[in-house]
Amino acid sequence: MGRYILRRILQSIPVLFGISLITFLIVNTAPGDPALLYMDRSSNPTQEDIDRVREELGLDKPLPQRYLEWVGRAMVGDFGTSFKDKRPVIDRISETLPYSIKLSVISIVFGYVMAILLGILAAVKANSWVDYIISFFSALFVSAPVFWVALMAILVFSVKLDLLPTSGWSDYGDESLWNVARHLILPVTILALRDIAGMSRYVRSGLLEVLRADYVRTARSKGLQERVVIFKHALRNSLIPVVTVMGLSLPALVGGAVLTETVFGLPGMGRLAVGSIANRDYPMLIAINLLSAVMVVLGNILADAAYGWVDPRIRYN
Amino acid sequence: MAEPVKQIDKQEDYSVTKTVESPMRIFWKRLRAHRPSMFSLVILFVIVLLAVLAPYVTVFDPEKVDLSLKFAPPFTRTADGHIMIFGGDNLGRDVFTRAWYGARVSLMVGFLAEGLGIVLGAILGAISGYYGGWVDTILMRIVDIFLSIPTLILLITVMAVYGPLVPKGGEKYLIVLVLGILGWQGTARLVRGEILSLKERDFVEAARGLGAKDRRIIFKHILPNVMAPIIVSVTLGVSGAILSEASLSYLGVGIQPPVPSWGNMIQSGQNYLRNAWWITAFPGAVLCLTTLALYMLGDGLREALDPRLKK
Repeated sequence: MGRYILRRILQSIPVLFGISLITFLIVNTAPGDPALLYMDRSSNPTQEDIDRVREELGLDKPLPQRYLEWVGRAMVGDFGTSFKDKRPVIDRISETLPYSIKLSVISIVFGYVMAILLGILAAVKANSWVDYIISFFSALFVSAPVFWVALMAILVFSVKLDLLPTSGWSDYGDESLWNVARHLILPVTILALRDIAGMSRYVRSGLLEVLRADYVRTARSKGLQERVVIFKHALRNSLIPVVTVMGLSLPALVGGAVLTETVFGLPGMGRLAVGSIANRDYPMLIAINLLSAVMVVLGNILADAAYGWVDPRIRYN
Repeated sequence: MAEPVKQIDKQEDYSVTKTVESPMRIFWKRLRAHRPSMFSLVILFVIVLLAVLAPYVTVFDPEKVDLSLKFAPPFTRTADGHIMIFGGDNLGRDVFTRAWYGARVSLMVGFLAEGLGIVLGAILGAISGYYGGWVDTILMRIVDIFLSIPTLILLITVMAVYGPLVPKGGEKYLIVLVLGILGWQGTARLVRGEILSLKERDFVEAARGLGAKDRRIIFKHILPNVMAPIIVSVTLGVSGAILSEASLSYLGVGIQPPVPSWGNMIQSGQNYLRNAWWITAFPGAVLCLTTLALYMLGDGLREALDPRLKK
């Protein structure tokens, strides 16, 4: 197991290099001088000033050399200086990343619990109106635009019913668990909706498949209660297809987090990325691309490890 | 246990005495029986029709500002007797009109981007699967990279860097290009997989034996057999491309105002959610209906084209 994870990590290194190269090229082959973006244009910089900044940023060197130097620095966590506030990129990211991770992890856990419960319900009541309603809403939320659903949720629950706050991580100066929870109910639910919608379908079809198996019939004929049959016997096997697609849904979750953080004004890395657009803060954007890819890759490795836990027949070799 | 009996019935269906239905007819029969997809087809038809005929559907100018109609609620009657079905926005423009002009942009971007992605994906997937070797290794590595990263952040980056450089009004073509280039990987993997199994089949061998060139074998003999999964992925892909464009426009790096697109209409309305919810709600509802219909159609097509599900 340990060796398998180690090998997966080693395998993901080329992928990460690929991503870093792609984003580096996108940003650095764009016409226009990054030095000008870095400088305060209202100060009317002279050519000398521009040249000095170009040298400072290493822009006078050839592209391959710049890439290799950038990779070397990125390895030790130095992603350069933000064009916007001239602070190290890594500082801004380490301020925002914990919020994004908390939001995503809570959403994933909530999403999968809900998906499993709704999937079971849909399978047990297969082809009834309960099943049809669940499948309609799952089609709706798999295909719906996250940001619009979020705005409609704000409209209903915050503006009209006045039940929940519209935005922010917590009220100013009040970081109590209750306050944070109140602020996170909507964002977590919205971010989880896509996973709930998508995964409940897999749980449903997986469970329906397993319920036809001989060992389930045996369990039933022993006189076990249906609840025990489903939760103790059938559920675990029916989750195997769910775990296989878990890793695949991660990129969409990170994308959804960008939009959710933006709509709800949460101080996460996604909103930092959106905030960096206006300033064309290249170093920040490259770093966020790379780090979000790292998170997805790590999440995939965890999902694969979970695969072995759900299905002990899997051998890692 | 009724199953074994059914099996025998099924085999009889294939006997020579009965007329064999063409795959296309079986497909249509199954799709027609799938009520959600037929319903979706009708909805999509109406949406596309309204978008195409937008100038004839409405008397309002999508970009004309009229501050006397600012935040006019839905069904407001204007001075010259026209009704603003979806109300007026923050600049007094008719939301209904803008929603259908926005549909033109959003649908065009969605279809063109997915079209580009499918063509690239089919060609690269075919090359990868047919020739194998190092070409295959490199292409599939690239596919792995793109399928394992959050493309929205990459899209934001590309649009933030290149968006300001295209001339005004040209951003929709940039989005098409970028979504196409970032959207071929799924198709490529799909086509490659199909081709790996198809290229060993007898009819390909026969074509080769008759002296057909690689290009002819790929395009005339193999690709038509991959059409079924491609069609399914097109419907889902168009839905995905429309959503991506809407997300980018919502974040301010896509279609730039005053040209309406569903995404930028939602963005411009969100600050007035409290007083004028209709600016945000209606364009989003039309967007949502479009993506839902495409999704359900894709679902129906997948079922209708699945050879394992014979009824």
